[in-house]
Amino acid sequence: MNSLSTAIIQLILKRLAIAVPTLLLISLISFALVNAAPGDAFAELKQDPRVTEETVQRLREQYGLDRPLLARYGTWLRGVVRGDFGTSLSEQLPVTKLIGARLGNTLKLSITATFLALLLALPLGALAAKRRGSWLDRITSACALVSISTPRLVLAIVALVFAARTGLFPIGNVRSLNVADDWSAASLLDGWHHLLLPAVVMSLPLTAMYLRQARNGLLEVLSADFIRTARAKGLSEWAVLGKHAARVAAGPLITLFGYAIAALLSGSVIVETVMSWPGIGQLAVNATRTRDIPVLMAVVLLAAVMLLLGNLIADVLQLIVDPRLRGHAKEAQRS
Amino acid sequence: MKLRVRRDAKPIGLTILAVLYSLSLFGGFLAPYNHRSQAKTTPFLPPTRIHWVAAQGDAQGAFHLRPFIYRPRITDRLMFAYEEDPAQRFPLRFFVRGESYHWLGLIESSWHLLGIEGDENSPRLHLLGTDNLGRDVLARLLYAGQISLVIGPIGLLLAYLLGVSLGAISGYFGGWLDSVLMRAAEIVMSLPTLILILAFRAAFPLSITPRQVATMMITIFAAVGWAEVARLTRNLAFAERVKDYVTAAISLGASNSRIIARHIIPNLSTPLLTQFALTAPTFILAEITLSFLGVGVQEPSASWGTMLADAKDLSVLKNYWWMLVPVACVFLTALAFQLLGEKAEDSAAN
Repeated sequence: MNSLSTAIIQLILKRLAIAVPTLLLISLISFALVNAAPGDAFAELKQDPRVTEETVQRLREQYGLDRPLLARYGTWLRGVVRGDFGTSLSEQLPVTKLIGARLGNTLKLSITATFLALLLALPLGALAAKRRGSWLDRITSACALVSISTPRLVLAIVALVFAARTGLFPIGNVRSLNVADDWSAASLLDGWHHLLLPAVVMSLPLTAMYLRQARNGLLEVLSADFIRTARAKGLSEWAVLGKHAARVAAGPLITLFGYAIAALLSGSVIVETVMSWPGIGQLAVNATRTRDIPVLMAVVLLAAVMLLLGNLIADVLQLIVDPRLRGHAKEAQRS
Repeated sequence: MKLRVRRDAKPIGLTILAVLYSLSLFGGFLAPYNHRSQAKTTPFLPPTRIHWVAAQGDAQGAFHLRPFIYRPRITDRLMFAYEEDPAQRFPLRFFVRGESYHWLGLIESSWHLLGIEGDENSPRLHLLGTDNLGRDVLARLLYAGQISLVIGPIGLLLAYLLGVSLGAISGYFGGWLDSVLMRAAEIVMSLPTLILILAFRAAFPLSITPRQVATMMITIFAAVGWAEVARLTRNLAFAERVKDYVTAAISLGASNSRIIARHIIPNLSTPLLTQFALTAPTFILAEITLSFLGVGVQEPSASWGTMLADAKDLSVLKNYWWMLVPVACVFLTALAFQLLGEKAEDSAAN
């Protein structure tokens, strides 16, 4: 086995060993927190004179809300290990089903957003670095500053105003009601039409972040000795930028990429709620409003897994791009 | 004069913040009305136009030194369209007595900067229009600023109290205490903040009083925010404790608590303050987001978040643009903090 795959496997194993206790602890803390509150999903029911005390009591027993905290956590955990996250208190559906229906939408939104951001940011960033101080550099820098400092909430509302006033884009949902959900051209087109605006809103801050990093990273690398050597050898500018400089400048970008995966759920909460995109973020907000604890717990766990996964993906990519790290990994192992 | 973005970033950011904070601080005085009073006959009234030139009658075209407004007349009760009734002029006055308000929640006053002369029947001066209940948008905007600009930083302050003490202890003593505290901080940090905040929020009943909302949010922000502060302080304190002045203090027989509180923490104030300015907007936005999502500040209290939630409605977006003014406030706040934190290095854009 070569050194790269060994290093990757070692890294994954090490992370897994940390991930399991971390996830356990996170779930225990959030479970205790969410359940410690006075009142529960059925507290509001009590106010209704048509609902008797016994009914509320029966519902509590049915959903196991009358048992002590640790016992409930144990039951919940046993379920989770078997892939059963319980039943939503407000929708009367299995949580896995609810999440499954929405996870696809969130992933579609965020993968498109990330793709858009990279597509736009990398070439622009490289150009800006190459023609430092040019009008292109100035404009992209100013745009990046503005989009980094614009909160997603503001961006989403501005996009909503744009859609409402011009009527160019549909608002909300993943497809129009009168369009079938299949692989026909009309359906795909309609899907893209719905996706575009939320994806742009999601991607703008990402684009700015990548653009800045790409530009500044490249600028730093371009002044390094090995770039001068490469140029002195008579390599084409394309080879210097694309092969030598890009490889080194990619490091911090990959770290950012990992962060982006990790922060994906947090970012989608706002965009999904404002633009009525039926994803995990919207589900989390609804679950908070209705105090739907099983759903909330599942989302918290999902978010934690995404975060750990994001960091892992970033580190694995880092290993692939930067051969120097493989040696370090081994040394760290030995010492 | 050419604006040099990087060099001027800090003063511009500071100026914007100073303006925003002082506007909302004196909101009760600056706005002509109370943020809660409803003019039920004029919902969704567009911003009142201020005239200098008479529009009609024998004095048509006559110029008046003192600006005046006309009474709005509803023309479409379904869509809330209004037109001006030029029959009577209502002149503007400075420093008028009007609806009472509490300055800083303490001093009651009824002085307003601007207002319309006359009794209750004279038209109202709505510089930014009214909302669905006929409340003055400007008054609500300034009042909401008092909440939106303050709750986040107070929560962060609490997080700092907690984080700095824990971090300093952790870094100074090291050992098992250090590993336990830092492990805990890492776990808090390893959760996406907004999801964590939502989970925290679910631990409180849905409808609670404004005071409880403020307490709840501050608690949540402290509970989420302490970890990063603790980690930063810990790393700084860890580097600090081997320095000569600490050794000197130890050899002079100073107690551990005295060394931490009187020697180490004061030496960390610069990086900690910088970090505070960098993190503050995150917490301000968190309050606005929570309120927007309907799990933070609630009616009849106002936050920029709840105002945006009111404006999110499709028909409002299309027809009543003045309901969207809070968007500008949120953007300006975020921009100002971003400018404040902008690094002075990398001046390639100049």
